[in-house]
Amino acid sequence: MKQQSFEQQHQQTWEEIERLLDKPNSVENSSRCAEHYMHLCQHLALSKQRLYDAALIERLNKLVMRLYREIYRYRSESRFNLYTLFAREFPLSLYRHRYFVVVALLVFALPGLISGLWIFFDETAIYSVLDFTDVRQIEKMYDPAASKFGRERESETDIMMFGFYIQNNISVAFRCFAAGLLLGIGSLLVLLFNGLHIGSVAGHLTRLDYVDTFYPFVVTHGAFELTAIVFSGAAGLKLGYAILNPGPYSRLNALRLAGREAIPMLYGIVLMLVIAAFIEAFWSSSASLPISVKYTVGGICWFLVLLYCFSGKRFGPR
Amino acid sequence: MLLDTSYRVEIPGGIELEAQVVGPVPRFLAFAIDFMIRGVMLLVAGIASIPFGELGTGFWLIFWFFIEWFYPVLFEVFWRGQTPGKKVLGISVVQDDLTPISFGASLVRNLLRTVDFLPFFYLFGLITMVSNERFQRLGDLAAGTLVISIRETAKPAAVTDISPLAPPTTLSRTEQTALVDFLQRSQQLSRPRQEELASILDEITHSGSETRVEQLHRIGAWFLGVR
Amino acid sequence: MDLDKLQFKACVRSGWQAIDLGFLMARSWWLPLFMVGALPATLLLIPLLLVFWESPHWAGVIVWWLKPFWERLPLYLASRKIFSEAPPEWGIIQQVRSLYLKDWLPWLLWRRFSFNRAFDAPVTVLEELKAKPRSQRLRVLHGKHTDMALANQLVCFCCELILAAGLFTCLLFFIPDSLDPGVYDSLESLTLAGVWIYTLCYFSAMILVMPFHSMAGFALYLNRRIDLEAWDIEITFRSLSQRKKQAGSRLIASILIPLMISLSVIFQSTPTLAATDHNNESARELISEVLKGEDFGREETVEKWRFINWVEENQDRIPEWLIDFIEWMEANFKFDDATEETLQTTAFWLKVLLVVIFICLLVYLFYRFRGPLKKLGSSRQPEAAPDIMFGLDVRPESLPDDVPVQVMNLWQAEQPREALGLLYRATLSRLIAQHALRFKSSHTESECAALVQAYGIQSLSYYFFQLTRIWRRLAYGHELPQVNELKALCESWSKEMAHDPQ
Repeated sequence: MKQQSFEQQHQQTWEEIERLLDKPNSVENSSRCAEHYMHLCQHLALSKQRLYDAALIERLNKLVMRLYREIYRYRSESRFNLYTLFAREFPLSLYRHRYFVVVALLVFALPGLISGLWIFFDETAIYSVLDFTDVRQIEKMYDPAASKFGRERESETDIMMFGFYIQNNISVAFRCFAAGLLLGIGSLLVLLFNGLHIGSVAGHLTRLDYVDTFYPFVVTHGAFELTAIVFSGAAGLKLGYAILNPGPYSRLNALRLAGREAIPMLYGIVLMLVIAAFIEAFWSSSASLPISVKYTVGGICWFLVLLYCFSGKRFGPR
Repeated sequence: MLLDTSYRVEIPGGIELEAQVVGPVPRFLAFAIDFMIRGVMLLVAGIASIPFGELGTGFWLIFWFFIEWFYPVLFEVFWRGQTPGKKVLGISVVQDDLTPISFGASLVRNLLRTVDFLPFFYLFGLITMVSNERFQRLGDLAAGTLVISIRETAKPAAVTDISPLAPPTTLSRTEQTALVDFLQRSQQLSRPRQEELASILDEITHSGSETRVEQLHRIGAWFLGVR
Repeated sequence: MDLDKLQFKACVRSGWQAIDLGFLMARSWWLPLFMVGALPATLLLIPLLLVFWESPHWAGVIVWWLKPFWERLPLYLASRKIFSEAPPEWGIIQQVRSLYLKDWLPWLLWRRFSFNRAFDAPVTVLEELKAKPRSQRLRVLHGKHTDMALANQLVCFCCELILAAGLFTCLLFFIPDSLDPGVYDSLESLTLAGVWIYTLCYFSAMILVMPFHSMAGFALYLNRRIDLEAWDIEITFRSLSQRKKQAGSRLIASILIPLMISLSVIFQSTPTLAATDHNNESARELISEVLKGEDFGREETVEKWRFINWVEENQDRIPEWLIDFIEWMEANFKFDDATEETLQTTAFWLKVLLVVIFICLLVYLFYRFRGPLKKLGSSRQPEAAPDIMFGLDVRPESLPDDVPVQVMNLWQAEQPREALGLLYRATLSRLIAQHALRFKSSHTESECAALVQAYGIQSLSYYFFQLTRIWRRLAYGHELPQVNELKALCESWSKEMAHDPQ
């Protein structure tokens, strides 16, 4: 077939596709884009084989590429469903990565527990973990005799602290995840140090008998914050493990798969930390609430969080 | 295997997509521009938040969080793979099958920036970038993304004042393109060099009143679609 | 210059892409390029360090100043590599003297700080042009890509600093405390040990980055030549002519030979080929322009070796300025008490709003998950059972009354497929209707079997497993079952189907 008659024959199709591409959002609404795509590919292959002019091939090539990009464009509405993400995918991915979660939990909790007990029984041990000034500051914060717990904080301060918790805690979680790329060692270190720090503070304050100020303060948001840190460590460990033991894949592909699978966990972690920041800023700091209420609400939160995190098993044995 | 910056993917339909991967120099500059923009945004927001006291500080901290982690993600996903810095340099992030970047991949790529940043200002990132031929940093490797150039090369103006000449033989696509280039770049090629080049193609020109160069120009015009 | 052997794809690239190609060249020949660049520099650095024992940074400065020389050998090597010629290993040593002596003085004085250093170096090193021919040539080459050459210079300089500082911090991090050389003194400036470490770090960074910087400049230069001399067109024309010759077997050696000769001069092409007429005046203008640029460039040196002091000075200065500014802002833009009160109220209501939103979310979540909370199972409505599976009708009303008898009848009527099909679909149908198993039309036979197994009645799952096996053999393998197998299945069918649903 001569090039000119070929062009004449298909001109209309090409123009239709061009019109389709020029209008925004029309490709996804068109039922014929797959058909168009197949035709275009065929036309391009034919014109290459028949050695038609470079100009024509260039035009068809561009058209194919534009259509291809439009077909595979990221669409927020179709691929990002918040409901299924948090109701299903996050718990499911926790369930799938339960071994990582367990390891992360152990690395986080065991050193914390040990250092906590040690510091509880040994007066001077705290200074081998924390700075003198840091210890004084923490003591001042939770001192029952201090005025801070006596009166209600101002709303402005609450909002500032909310911002601070968002900025600081979520960044820590993100770094804990990213550090997993260093063969998992980074995540382990972050978990270990956080565990040590929290355990030591708890042990020290318990020894000083600041129980009524410290535990009611941390119990509620701890349900979200501590679990989220463990999860971010687990996600990081997954990355590191993919490099160390890639299984049937190349290391690179294993890493890619791990990265992709860790995404629902990251979304979940962000959600949990936002909730934690909210509670920490507006609920935990409140001084007028009786301690019993705080413990009750904290207990309910722990129960719900654990229930939620263990709910992944229902969604499929994998 | 010739050294080349182009990256090819075969897409459904047997078509090959080609893109030029982008190395550390343009990416460094793009990052520097983004870095400055982010800095200015934070500074302006910080100054604006001073009168609002602690309330302002709270919002500024949240703003900082978003700028730090989501500035690149949001731009890459909703602005065709480009942050403002990348836009200036004409580069863009895509998946490694050359489809537009997805939200998840962009998130992974930008969270792992933390590791690329170690131990001092993107040193790991730079080292990984030059140690693989697609110039992917660690975050790119894990997310399966790469940075390509999307700047269109300016096409020379079409030549119309030349009468076309049908080629005496069938020519492949590269050969056609070379003839078209020969015509379009004739302005910047010196005459002796043009003659030298034309003399290579002695087989497809004929010895007539016209010079070889002119004959090749006319064939080039034919392939440009002039009839 | 044999273009057919070119080791990279010849095409006209943008400046950025040319730089990227340069980085590709540097990384694929990295070791040899690094060696020929680093060796002479190290050989000079060691005696200099011995001389300047008490002030090693001067040794560093001298070696750094001579950088244009260290870049010449890698450049020369690369110019061979791109045509896949391997220069003899020791031959390059013999070249050193002549390479280093080419036009050396200007390169150590004003050209040392040219932003186009790597871009211009090939004109001196490879084309061996000096004085006026050189500036004419540069005028042509500088028609494009000078901005990219500047970017290359800047970025590579930054990379050097990053690498040096990275090495420095890493070293300090890994030196155990017992061996701590005391890098900083009490005034936080570098001690002699610190200067030693920093000098060595900077030197390492310099030689590590050098191949990339120099190759990027070389690639820019090559790209200009490809553009100006149409190398890509030549390569295609040659292959076309080769093809024609082979096809038509018209070998015209008489043209080819002089052509080869005319092109075989390596990097010695006369500038007139590409250059058009430039008079002396414009060349002089250009030189003065370049000189101006270099004057401007002198700032670079000052910055480099005062870097540490510079940071220190500014550490004190910037915060104070910032603090003053913030204090001023607070003093002048702080609202009066009334506004302050409004702000406080706003914050309060904002807090209330956030809390209300949160509570609404909580209520919604409870509502949404009321099922799972009541019972740790699923609250989802079971999907409607499918009517047709594997092309078999599994509606209860489509089944005959006495299934086993019908099956055996069909079997005896020599319709084994229909017989077994009936048995299989009847089983599926009963499982769906009586035991409420959640089959989907998308399930495969083995997925169904897995679901039956998960259901937990052992004999039933064994029965279904047997049935599935026989059915699949017949349906896909056209393999008839044993009669007694089928009989056994039929006989136990009623019993198995009569299991109490859980």
